Amino acid sequence: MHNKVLIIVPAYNEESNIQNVIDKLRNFGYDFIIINDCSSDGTLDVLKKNRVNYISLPVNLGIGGAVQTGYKYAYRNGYDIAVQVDGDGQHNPKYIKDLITAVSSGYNMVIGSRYIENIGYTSTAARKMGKGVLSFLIRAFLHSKITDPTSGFRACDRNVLKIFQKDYPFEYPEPETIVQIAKKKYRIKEIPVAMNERTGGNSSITPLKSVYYMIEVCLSIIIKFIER
Amino acid sequence: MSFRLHLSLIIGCLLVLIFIVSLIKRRKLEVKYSIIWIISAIILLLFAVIPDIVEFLTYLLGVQTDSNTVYLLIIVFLLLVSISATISISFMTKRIITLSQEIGILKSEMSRMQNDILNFSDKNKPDITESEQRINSCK
Repeated sequence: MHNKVLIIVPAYNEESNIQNVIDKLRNFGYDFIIINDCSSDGTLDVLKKNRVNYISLPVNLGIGGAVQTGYKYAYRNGYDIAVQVDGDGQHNPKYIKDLITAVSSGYNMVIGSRYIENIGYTSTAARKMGKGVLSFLIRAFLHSKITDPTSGFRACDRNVLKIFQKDYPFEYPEPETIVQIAKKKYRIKEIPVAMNERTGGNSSITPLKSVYYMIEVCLSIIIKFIER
Repeated sequence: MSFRLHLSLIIGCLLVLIFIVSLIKRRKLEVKYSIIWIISAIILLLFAVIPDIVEFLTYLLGVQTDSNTVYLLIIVFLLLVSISATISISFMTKRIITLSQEIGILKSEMSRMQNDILNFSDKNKPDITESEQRINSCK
């Protein structure tokens, strides 16, 4: 059975990274759509110059809103599998086929985890500790062992697509969606991936905000667990 | 504090907590506001269950009575919530203005495109102005 796959690339102020991402994705030949989240830099110019498929949002929605836009597009255009690949170049497209294979083998959502094999760039020590706390919380609530709950490198099938295009967390989508999907008894799996360090520009999560971020995410997961 | 007052306060706080949890369950609140309200409800319940905390705060703040402390804290909390709400409203207003402008510009571009398409395909039609009128009149 041939699956129709769409790569969703959210991008916010990635003028120095997005060209690289476009070139790599074109090499692999998947359908992809770049969501320009109202970037204030030259990201849109790069997209126009490359004549890629893109959606340029009129206001900045953040990672949650931008990715959901991609899911809406994927759902409405009949795609079977949607894969998120960040516009900053940290996700390596060579793992996309592994994600797709895992989804096809019967999982509803497959996450590319940096911590199963601990290769490649695994982020700062402070963030790793925070993610450990998150993993623990998720395991406690949902009895599912997720080693990399903040990884945006993930693929989902049409069942999950149908949910996301209508209902997607706004603030901290990566861990919140795990709770959201696991609560509905869908099957989630992780596969090992190696991620790259950010090559240009700045991450939108500064190191100063990391601790505050971690507390907020833990609380959000608890709220998400209470919901519905 | 009389036992009856103490009991009424605890029951009142439990009702508030149940109400907040039901709001969260029904997804009536954005996650971040759910966090604020449920933490507030828990703190309120804590005050009701352990009045010593309020006593300590009364002493710390130099307030006359325990009830004054509770009023003061609740008023400060409500002030912060209102200010935060007006900030959110201002932010959303700007975004709505931007969205309206984008929709207006989109409609105008679409109408121009429809015009171009009809002009192109109606090369053999005698009355082009009538088609133009039809497009311009429908929103």
